Amino acid sequence: MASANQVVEESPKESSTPKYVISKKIDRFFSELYGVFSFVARFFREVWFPPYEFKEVLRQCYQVGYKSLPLISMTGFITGLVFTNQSRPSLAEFGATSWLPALISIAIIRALGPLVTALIAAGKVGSNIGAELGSMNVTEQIDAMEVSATKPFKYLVVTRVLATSIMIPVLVMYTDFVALAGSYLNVRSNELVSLSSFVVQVFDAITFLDLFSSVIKSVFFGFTIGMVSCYKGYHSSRGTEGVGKAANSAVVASMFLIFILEILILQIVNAIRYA
Amino acid sequence: MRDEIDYSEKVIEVKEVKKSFGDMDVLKGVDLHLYKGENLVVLGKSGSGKSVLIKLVVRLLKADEGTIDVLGKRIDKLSVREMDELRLKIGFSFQNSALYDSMTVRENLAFPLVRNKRLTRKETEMKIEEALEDVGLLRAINQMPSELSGGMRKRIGIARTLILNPEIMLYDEPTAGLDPITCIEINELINEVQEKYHTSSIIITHDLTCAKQTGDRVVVLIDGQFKTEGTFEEVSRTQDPNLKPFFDYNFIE
Repeated sequence: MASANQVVEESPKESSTPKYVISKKIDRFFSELYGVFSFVARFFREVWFPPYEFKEVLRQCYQVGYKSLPLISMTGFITGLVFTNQSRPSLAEFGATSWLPALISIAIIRALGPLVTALIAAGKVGSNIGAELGSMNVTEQIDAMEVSATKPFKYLVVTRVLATSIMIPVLVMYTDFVALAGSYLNVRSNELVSLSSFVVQVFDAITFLDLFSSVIKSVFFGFTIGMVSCYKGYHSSRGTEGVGKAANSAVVASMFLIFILEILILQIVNAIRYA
Repeated sequence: MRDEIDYSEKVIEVKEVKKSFGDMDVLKGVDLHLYKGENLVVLGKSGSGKSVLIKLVVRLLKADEGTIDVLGKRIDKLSVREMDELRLKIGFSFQNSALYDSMTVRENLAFPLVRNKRLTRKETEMKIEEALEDVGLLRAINQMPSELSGGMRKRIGIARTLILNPEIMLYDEPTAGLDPITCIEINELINEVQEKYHTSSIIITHDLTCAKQTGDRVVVLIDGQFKTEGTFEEVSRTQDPNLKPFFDYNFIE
């Protein structure tokens, strides 16, 4: 460094050597993949150790669960009602409308309930988390937590992933119930089936494996939504555009992974069922 | 220049640090040291790498090459836990204040305190009030960040760092986006903080008034390299053709 008043010669321009191992796009893909795995690994490293941030977990459970209830209720109810209505003509051709409660319960508990809930949660909760963390990243709030040694990953990510992993299964059970209620309303108005008869048929059709796999699947869905949304928000690019992109990609990536998980879990459950 | 500066003790020592983002070389092997009790101003144009430099000091970014020692510890060798312990001794005031916008001012100040110090609720409250009194904003204790002006947000941001009694303060563009009167108030606050908390500070700025009012020593960062060093008066008289326009166009008597 020169002292004041000294004229300093401009340093020769450094040669711009290529900094990519293969190509920009491929490097970025592998770097993103590595980032995702590191992020998930960091979650499992940090979730066991204090501070546990119970208060924040509860607050997030309230945000994820209670705040999603109106939308989940409406969607679940309509799904049950419409699915019953659309299934009737096919069963009526074989004179099998009495099987409606059994068919509907299997469809709702095995697939529709978890899938509809997870997709709605991916849209509502995923975009919310992606935008919130993205905005905090853009305005350097996450950096501010980092430099004051307050463990932002634990406070922002671990709490949200725990909340989605806990609350999505609860919401799925609630959606199953509401969808069956919608279905019952339709069956009741068309076939004049009593509530007790409807309930008996529903529980006769489903097995413990159906309920268990539904809950386990929902935990995976919740974990995926939380993890993907937090990752996208936590690593959003700077600027307001980055916030929008984080929210958008959180939803798209969550939904995509939910369908992939659905297929994978279906294969595993079928393997167990028919073993 | 202040009498309390201890020229025998360097609290921050940056050696041959390089940092690039993709093809862009931001820092091209910079050396810097901060003495105990000193206010060091890093002047430079926007995009010259000033903010990157102090983010490297708190390990928000990682240097590609070179070493950084803070309070005698080489930061790239520290574990996450050791780095967190070191960070408690460093206050970082962000350019846009970085207040947690979903929390009140009280909660903003309590957030780092309750997570790092074992204090009773009463002691926590007293510390919060003391920090807010130091920046003259006790009245804003229950307000949300969105209800505060730019100058108030800067002050609250500084109060949030002071609450942990840091030994080093890093100010990233403390007067950016503020009116001239508020700028002078912030400059005075930086000096008051230095006197009361006996901090050593690096002040990143392109505001020459801020540099003049707060700096014991000034260094100028141009194109990723330090070009000159001295008191503000010395530096502002530079004849370096790369630096002269910076002072000619900006200088405010």
